[in-house]
Amino acid sequence: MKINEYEPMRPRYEVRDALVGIPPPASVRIVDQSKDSFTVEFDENKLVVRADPFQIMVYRKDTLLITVNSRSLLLFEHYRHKRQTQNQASNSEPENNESPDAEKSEEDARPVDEYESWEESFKSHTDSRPYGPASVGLDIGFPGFQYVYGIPEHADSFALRSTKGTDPYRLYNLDVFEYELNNPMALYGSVPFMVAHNEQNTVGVFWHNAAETWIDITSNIADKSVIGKLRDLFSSGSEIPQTDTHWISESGIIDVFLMLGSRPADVFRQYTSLTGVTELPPLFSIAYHQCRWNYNDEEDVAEVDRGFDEHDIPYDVIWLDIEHTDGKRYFTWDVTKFPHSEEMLNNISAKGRKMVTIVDPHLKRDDGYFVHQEAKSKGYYIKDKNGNDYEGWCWPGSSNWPDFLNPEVQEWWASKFALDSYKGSTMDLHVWNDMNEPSVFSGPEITLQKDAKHFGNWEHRDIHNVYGMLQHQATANGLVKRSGGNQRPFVLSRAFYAGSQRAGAIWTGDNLADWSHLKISVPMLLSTNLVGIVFSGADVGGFFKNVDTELLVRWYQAGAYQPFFRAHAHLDTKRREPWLFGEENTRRFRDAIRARYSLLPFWYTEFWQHSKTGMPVMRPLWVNFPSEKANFDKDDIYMLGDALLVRPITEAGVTGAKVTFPGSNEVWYDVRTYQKYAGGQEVYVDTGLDQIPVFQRGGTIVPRKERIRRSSALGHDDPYTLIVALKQGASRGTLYIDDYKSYDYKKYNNYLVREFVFNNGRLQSSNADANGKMETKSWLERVVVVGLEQAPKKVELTSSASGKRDLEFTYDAKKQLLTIRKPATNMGTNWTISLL
Amino acid sequence: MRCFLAAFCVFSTILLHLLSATTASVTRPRGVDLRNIGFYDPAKPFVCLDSKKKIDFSQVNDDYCDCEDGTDEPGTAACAVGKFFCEDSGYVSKLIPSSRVNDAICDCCDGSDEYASSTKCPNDCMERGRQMREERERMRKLVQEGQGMRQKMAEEGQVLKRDKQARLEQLEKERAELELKDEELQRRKEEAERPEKEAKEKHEKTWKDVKERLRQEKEQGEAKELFTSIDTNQNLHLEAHELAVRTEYEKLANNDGEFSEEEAKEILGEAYVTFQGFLDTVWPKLRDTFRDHAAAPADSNADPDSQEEKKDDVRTHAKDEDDLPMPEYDEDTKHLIEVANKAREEYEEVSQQLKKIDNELSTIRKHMDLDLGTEREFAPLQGRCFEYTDREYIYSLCPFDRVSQRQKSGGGDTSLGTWSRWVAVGTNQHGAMMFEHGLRCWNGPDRSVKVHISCGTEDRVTAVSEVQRCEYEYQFESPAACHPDHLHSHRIADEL
Repeated sequence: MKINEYEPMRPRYEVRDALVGIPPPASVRIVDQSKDSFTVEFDENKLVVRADPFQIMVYRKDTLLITVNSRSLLLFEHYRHKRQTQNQASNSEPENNESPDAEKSEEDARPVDEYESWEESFKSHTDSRPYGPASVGLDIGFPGFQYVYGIPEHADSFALRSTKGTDPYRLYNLDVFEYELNNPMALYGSVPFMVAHNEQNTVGVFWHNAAETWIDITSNIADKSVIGKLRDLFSSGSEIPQTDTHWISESGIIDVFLMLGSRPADVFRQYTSLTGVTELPPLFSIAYHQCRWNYNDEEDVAEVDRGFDEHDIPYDVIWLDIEHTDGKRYFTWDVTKFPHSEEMLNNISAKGRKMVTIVDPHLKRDDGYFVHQEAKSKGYYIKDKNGNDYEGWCWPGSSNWPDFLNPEVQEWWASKFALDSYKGSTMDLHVWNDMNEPSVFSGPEITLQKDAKHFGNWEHRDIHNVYGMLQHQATANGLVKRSGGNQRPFVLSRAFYAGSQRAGAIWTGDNLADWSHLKISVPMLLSTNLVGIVFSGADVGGFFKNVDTELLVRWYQAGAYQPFFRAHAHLDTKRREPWLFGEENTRRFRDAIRARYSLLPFWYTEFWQHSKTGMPVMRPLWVNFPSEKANFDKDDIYMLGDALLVRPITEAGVTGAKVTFPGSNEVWYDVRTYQKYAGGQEVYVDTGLDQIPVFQRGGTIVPRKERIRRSSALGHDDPYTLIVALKQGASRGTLYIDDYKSYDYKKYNNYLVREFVFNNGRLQSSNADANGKMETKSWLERVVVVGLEQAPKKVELTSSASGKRDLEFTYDAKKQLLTIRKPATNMGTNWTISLL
Repeated sequence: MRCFLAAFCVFSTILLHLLSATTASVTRPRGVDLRNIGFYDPAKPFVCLDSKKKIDFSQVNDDYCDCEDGTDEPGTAACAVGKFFCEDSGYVSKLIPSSRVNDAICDCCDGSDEYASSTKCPNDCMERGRQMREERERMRKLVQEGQGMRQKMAEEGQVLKRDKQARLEQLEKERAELELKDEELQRRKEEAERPEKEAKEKHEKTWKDVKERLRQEKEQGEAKELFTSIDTNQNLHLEAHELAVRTEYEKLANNDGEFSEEEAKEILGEAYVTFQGFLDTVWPKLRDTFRDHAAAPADSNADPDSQEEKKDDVRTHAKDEDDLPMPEYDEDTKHLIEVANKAREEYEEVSQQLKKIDNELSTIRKHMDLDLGTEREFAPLQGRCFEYTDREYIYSLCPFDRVSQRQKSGGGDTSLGTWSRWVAVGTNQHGAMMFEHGLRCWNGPDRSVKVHISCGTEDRVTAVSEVQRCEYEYQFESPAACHPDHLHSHRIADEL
């Protein structure tokens, strides 16, 4: 639904960068029509639209799922001329002149002085607000839903809390110094997409607006008094839950997409069909990243690189923060510290590794700096309210910001990554966009003035939340172009918006080396995964402050099971490369990182699955177990794909943890010991400092590569191990293989999708996508069947290539574990292994 | 196998031929450590070296890991904990993790780790061996050259130590003599001071009595003056109504601006007082006010400055007797003082000498206690400072004292630390110097420096780096570090 102003004095901004396309119209049946209402039906859904008062009610079958404007909070402040408004304020739309936060401050609801709303001051900053107040607002209700999720980024619980008595959840991309936890305050990214889930239905709402946005949430259950809750305990019928939300944006239009589910997977498909999916990342980018502000010089980089090899710890990417540049002039090198950057890059990439350098959006105002010189002379900068290049303060000192709203600027920016423009770079250099909220040290709330001007005469207030995404996309495009459209890019961004997933990865910004920040990383990443930004992570170790050894161990163990896995640290902290904490801990870090590497085939396949279906990689329990209400608010445990259950340890000094095993008819196996746990229970599991509780779900097959090389690229052709975890004697799984780096999978169908099915004592590998035409050298090294109650007498391999042959095996009766030795079949062929 | 003597080479080649003729077992499976070759006999089943498991020999190096210790796959990447043996003939043999076998990176200089890889690895063991031997030779020469210098430094250190020792002994002897003298002089001083003190005290006591008498007389005079001025009816009785007109004394009552007879009576204690009564009880109450007023007569025309002066005059006047110079001591006392002064001077002189000796002793002992190397070869570095300049800073190193940095563009020294201790590097107890407790970093620790010392023919700082925030490392070369035992310094450790 879309509500715009009729003949506004200036156009109102409509976001144009979030959607990949407008969904095709579907046919509906009009089943009822009267003077002030009509009803349409499609699929199992019914939509009732009323005119006075305006209301929309959405049903599935006869269940009311979503109501729009049922509380009559629809608000649309139209543009006005300043003088005119002062004179005609009283008769210009009496029912709609409530200010955005009037609801919050009813007690001091004095008449709004229109003049005050024209100009706003924050500390020493003044927002001239030349078009006056122009907010839009709407209430959306979810009858029958106790839980809503999404609208990242907030350092808060995964299930959103009622905001009764607190500030609303705020969406306004900001560079927040040492952010607070369990707080609805705005952070670096904003995705105005919310999902409501109950046992029967899952629905979503996408509020397609890029201006500063506030969302109030009330819930008849969460907001109930203690006495009310007590009363429910004693009365037989409990109340039907209901969650109400109120959305307000500072400018733009009302443009809302309602997604009707009905299952979680449907909502993910529906939302990603609007805003896109995370493109399949190159393999190195889902391996381990080593970052620090800063690796000082070429010698330091070489030493860290050597350190990993000396301690036999794999890593794929080493990062350079802002100090690598010549005076924070991005696309340049500090030539005294990095005189031979190409040679350095080649030394790194000789081991299959990559480097990431930082390229922030603020450009140093120095006429000798070619990037600034070009941007300035071409008029590519954001303008202030008077039409001059907007100037502010950031890392390099006085800076300007490119106006990524201008398509020409995006092209120009992308061209800066060409190897002949970014001197000293190579194809193995990838990019990090930080500070792109944008962060402006001298600006209000450390960001741009809202009355700054963009291409197309839009005000910054209209587009603020998309700015970072536009830089992210332009950068990713630049890396693709650099390779002639051949290589997949990797770009990490701090700011994000709906659609950022298409450009690459994001991370949760400047966290703290504190247990609470490790703990909050789980709900924060569940939220970004929910909204399609599946390639996301939190800085391992915590960015600010020195990290305690035990915390760092637990953080590595947790980070190894989060989609984007990077250690990072602030300039003021002690060095914390994973061999600086004594041999015992070096082993723990090594084990944690190796666990990640052995599961890379699984991770890669999950990212591929996401790119096909929109399914999150990191999932709350309710995605796979949608009717287990007791788990709807769990955010200390989660699923990876359909197969792995992860319960990171986020408390100091513990040697065990309570683990919720979902699914009353499920069975789970400890991935380390293969100990079996029945689903539908909570069990206290021992987890010394060497372990993180991770379980494979019975009924799934997980592909692994158990040969751990110095980097993921070096294991390109290494053989696979299949972990076949049985549930009632059956299981299935998928493996996706391609060249791990190029677009050949798209252009030339250079990929393979293998499906593995275990049933009736037979494991069968078949081609799940006939279009896939890749040949692979990798082969099947080992099959581990978990939960097999009886030893087979014989294990026989039948393959199209080599006919029939017996395989050696071992069986551990106590663990119910069958290990089949070296089938050695090529992964691309069809074969069957029969247990006889 | 490397041959040093042609004859031996020939012999060993023959031996090898003989061996291979009699048994086939000398074909070493790929990647096996030469020391373990005996465990790999193709004629027998293979037992994992941790002796847990027996497997068919055909499963050795068949690219599948059967042994938990990885010993069945020394030549493939199949085992996570496996080790591949690079023979690297001509250079130095080494073990690498078997995950580095066939990973397209050349790890063995003989290229043997990449036998089935997309990468072709050249055999550059001979070249590396040559470089290593050259480097060793260079180091050997350097150490040889430096050793002589080190010897000189050690000798200098020993001489310094002997000199210091001799001086120490001399000083200790001097000190013992002086101490006796000191005691005697102290006794004499005390003896002379006793009669001096008595005589002085007596004189001072007499003078104090005189002053007290003067004070009393003066005060009585003042009291009389006041009494007479208030006793307006001159009946030698000071009556309340007489006092009540003197409003300046009202503040001694309740200071409400009205000076009633009742209030005056309260001050007097009775309706009237005689002079004696006045002197005993009333005067002490009125004295300060009287003196204030005497100091500032009700002359409102007088300018403030002169008033101020007068006030001062009066105050001076009031203290007159205290300021009177004490009469000179009598001749006897003077003599006693003279004698005592002399005794004091003599004692003081010897005390100073003792203190000086103690200072020097403490400096020498500190030096003697310092670890200046096994043969005191680092002793000549004490008291010297060395500088190193990079792009921004000039770094200074004063061994056994302090390290600091200052900006090239000028400005003050920033302390990076003061001498703390030696840090062992390998078996070398004098491998590095630690300096700690420099200026604290904002948001960070105290600055500190580790100074790595290597053999060189000159004492100099060759590099400085901030390895992490506010933790610095200096590279320092000195002949003092040139010792054959420490030839494997960090510089060639990488090569081995």
